[in-house]
Amino acid sequence: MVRFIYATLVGIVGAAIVHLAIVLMLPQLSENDVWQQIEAKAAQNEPIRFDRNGVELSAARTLDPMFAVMACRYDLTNGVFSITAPPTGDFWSVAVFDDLGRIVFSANDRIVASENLDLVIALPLQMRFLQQASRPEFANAVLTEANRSDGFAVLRVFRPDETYEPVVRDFIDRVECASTPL
Amino acid sequence: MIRELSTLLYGVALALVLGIGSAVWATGHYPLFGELAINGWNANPGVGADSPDPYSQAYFARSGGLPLAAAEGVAFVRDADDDGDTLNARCIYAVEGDTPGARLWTLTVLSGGEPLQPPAEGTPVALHSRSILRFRSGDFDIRIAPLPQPGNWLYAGSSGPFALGLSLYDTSIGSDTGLTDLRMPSIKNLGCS
Repeated sequence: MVRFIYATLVGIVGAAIVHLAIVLMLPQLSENDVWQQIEAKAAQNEPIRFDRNGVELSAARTLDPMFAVMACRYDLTNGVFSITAPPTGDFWSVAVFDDLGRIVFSANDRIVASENLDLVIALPLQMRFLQQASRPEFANAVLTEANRSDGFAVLRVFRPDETYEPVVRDFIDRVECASTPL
Repeated sequence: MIRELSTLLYGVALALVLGIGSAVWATGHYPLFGELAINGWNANPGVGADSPDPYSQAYFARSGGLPLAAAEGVAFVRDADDDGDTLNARCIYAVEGDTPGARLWTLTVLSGGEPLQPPAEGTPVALHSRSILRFRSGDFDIRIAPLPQPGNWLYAGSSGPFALGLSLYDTSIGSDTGLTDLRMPSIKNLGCS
């Protein structure tokens, strides 16, 4: 009996360890997360639209149907990543995720100083270079530091109905994602 | 010898079954740590923060969804009326009141956790803050019903349970200091067919 109770206690402690291991490892091991979906569908620095009017991604099913959502995948190993977009005159927001799905940075059109989007993502060491020798092309950009070299930037634009579609399409066509070697 | 082996096997089996089972359960539904509940509406502003809790991360890694980041907005969900009964599309509901300060909000009918597809072009399965009629006080009254209604009408299907998603964009609610009362709309059941 004592042996049975002892085995049960050991089993419960073991269950807690197994539980924590699975929960903590899921972001690394999942094959269904947004990063994997975007990596499979889009090349590096290629804007991809994935709301209901764009490429079919399973991540799109739970998104707000009143927004157009697009993303750019980046890789910082060969240079800093920059995303620029023209002003829309309406609400837009940007969120930067790393490949584990953690949010690195987020902003919307009211938070940034100008109405257009001009965002640069760099690794800590690249950020040191940028601060020591500032570059004219990034003079007005918002600089963001990421700790992991892979990730993606998500851009949401308000698109409540079909009449907004031409404006949104024009906006998405003018979004530019690029990587600049330092 | 056999008794020791069976005890060992029992302990290992217990650890695996309980551990895997609880992890699958805990990561299978929307994370409730750091939950913000106002008038029956629930949100988790923590999922949009820089370092979300491990359960939120695991949930989004497994479900493949994309959370709203802190500067983008906060998404609230509600699946019961003011009396605590589950929302059913056979009934008529009045969504009354106002939302906390936000630049923009959208109200979406969710079916099985996903936005409802409109059955025909132009059927309102989602509304936004600029598309609705308001009273002089700024409050609104949205009717959820299977048939068209005067004023603000939202269609939630012909029957079956549904939930409502209210996403506030560009809102300071996640970093609220508690100095002002946060108001969320109430949902009254006006009768079922």
